[in-house]
Amino acid sequence: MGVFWDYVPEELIHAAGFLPYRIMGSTENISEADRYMPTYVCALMRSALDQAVKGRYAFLDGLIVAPMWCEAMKPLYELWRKHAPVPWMEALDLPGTTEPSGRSYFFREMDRLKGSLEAWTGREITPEALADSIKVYNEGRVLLKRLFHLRQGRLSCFSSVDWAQVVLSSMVMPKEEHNRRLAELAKALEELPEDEQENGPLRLHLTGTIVVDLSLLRIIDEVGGAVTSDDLYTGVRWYWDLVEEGLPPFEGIVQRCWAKLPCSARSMPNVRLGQILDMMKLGRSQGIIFLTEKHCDPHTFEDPLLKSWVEKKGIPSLQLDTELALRGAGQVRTRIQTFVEMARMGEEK
Amino acid sequence: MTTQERKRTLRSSYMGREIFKNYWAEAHACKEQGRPVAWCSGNVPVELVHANGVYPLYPESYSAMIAAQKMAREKCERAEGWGYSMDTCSYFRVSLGMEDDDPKTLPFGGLPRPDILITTRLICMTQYKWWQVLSDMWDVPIYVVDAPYLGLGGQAQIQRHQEDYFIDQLKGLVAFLEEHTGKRMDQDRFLEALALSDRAAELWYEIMGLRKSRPCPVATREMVGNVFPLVTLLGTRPTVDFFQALRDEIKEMVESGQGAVPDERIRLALDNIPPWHDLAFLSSVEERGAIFAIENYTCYAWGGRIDLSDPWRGYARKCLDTWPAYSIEERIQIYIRQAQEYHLDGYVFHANRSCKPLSTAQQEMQRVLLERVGVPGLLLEGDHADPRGFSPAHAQSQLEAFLEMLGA
Repeated sequence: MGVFWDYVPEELIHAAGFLPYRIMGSTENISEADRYMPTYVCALMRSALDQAVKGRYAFLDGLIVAPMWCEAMKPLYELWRKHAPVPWMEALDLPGTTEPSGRSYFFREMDRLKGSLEAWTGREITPEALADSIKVYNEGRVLLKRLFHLRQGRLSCFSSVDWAQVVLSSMVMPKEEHNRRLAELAKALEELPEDEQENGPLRLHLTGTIVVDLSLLRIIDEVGGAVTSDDLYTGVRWYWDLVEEGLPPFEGIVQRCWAKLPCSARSMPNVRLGQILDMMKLGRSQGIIFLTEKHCDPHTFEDPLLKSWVEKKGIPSLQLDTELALRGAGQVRTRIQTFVEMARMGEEK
Repeated sequence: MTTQERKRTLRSSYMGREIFKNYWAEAHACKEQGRPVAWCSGNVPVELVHANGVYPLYPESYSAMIAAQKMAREKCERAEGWGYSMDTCSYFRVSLGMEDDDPKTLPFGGLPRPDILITTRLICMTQYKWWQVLSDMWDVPIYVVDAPYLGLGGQAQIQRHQEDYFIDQLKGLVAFLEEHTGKRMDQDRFLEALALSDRAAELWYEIMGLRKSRPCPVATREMVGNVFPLVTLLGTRPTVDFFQALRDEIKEMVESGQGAVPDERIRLALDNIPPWHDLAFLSSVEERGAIFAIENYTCYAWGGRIDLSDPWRGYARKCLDTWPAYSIEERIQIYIRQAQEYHLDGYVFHANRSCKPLSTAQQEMQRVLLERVGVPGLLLEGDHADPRGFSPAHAQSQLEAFLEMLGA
């Protein structure tokens, strides 16, 4: 079951008997989608449509797209439905606000999704099945958080690229299997001694939308940096918040989506600043890299503001315009390298 | 916007020009008298703002005017210098780029400072983020009118729970305004504003209907200026008076068979916001006996009839019924009908990189219109306010080739 964007509740899909598979586009050149969408739509939308039209998602039984507050997502959904239909497709109209006034609408829409899924499969999604799925997904989140902490002192054996692969794979692999591997990894990591405090890489916070092109992270690793915290939609925003197990299962699942670290499209920039600072503390991060995804309005509007705020706090920061697939790798390397060196000099002062 | 000085076809358009001038001048007067000024983004439910005695100012409209006066480029570049991407909406960049300007150098003395900020997600997310930047800059209270998305799964029918949600949002706006003015909203004044808004829409639709006539009495270039009160002054008396005069004059023209263009041979429609920085582009077709007879910008963005027997619900329905909410299929259906009713020969799609909600589906619409009903369309790359997004020479030659193909 294709999951487009991080407001789609995976537990619900799992409980309905499907494997949730996060759609993240591809770093492959976009060729087909340009017939349907202009190039000033973000690369994720264009790439997802491109892959769909090329038949790369032919393995999907269903697809859920949410939320519609992102204005490229609605045409994406409509064009996808028309030009590369998946047997069953749903889109969610979630309120674009974190104000309490939107909560009941949010719950209602999630309820509609559940009903629609049940009607299609002809099977009720029982509270028991939901509770079991919550356990599985919460376990995955707890393990990722544990690894996040364990990694902090062991960056020498756990690069930014490795970590991204661990997190990204959690979005597409069968969860039970992934959890088993995470537990093994955590156990192995615990047995390793912590790195020496001296001469470690420059600890960096990564803020942006989604990072699927590992070559960017490889550059960071290679020039003496390490990503130690993030607030990415393919990172912390995906796995950090747990479903509260004391609530009725479905309510707990929806409540998590409602209350989790919000997408910038539904929150004020100071909310994101709070997330960044909180995560930086946990990752002991020394600088920030803003990955401003081209044509992603929440970020193109917000990032200059946030950058000025963190600068006022004396936190070194670098802003890069990015697209799903890394372009101009040479220049990006030079800029990151210079930034890492400058930030280090600042630290030594 | 009625800013690029040019002889107008209609006498009453000059009345619109006066309304336009007064609108900006009065904002300063309000500020001096201590009446609160709200900076509103496009499609903020303006009747409510008027009914609460708050003066609604539309920076978007101001940016369009700056573009029409050929002043947009330097403002955009300045905002980009402050770190804002060239991919952000040019209305925003123009508006931000004026911040350091001496107000005396700006039309109508610039915009007076806001006391409050109001934005909505009705038509785009961009405004919501833009208003957050303003909120940081001015440090004044902000209210966001959230809105559901319609048209999922190809059905644009507004559902009852969506209306209910939006009514709550509207009432939240009232509470916000009341808190700021310290006065309860006068219900009679609210109902009167709705009645005036509905009357203005009724007249406006009548005008739009009259443009189906051959020859067409008035072209797009003039009407995108005349639409201004529908954006900013719905719920007020002068808007109704103006539209009445406009309707009367256009009706007279239609009855006597007068057209805006002598020897009209080709009829076009414009899709999307016009390129404000080059409105002459739109009238350039008239030399070849072609006319832009209709445009979605004036028909499906602002205004709308309101069921006054159920005011809040009627008002919510009117606000929710707007072009960005329509699914691609619904947009196509509208154009198929429109092409027939307005005797259109072709569509010009302004591929406006500053406005995703209006532009993202254009390629699909262009293709389907041709396939299903044989109406050709031309896609022109441009931008509503940033002249750098538009190549006049290239666009002109594309347009001429298109007209030739249509037999002009």
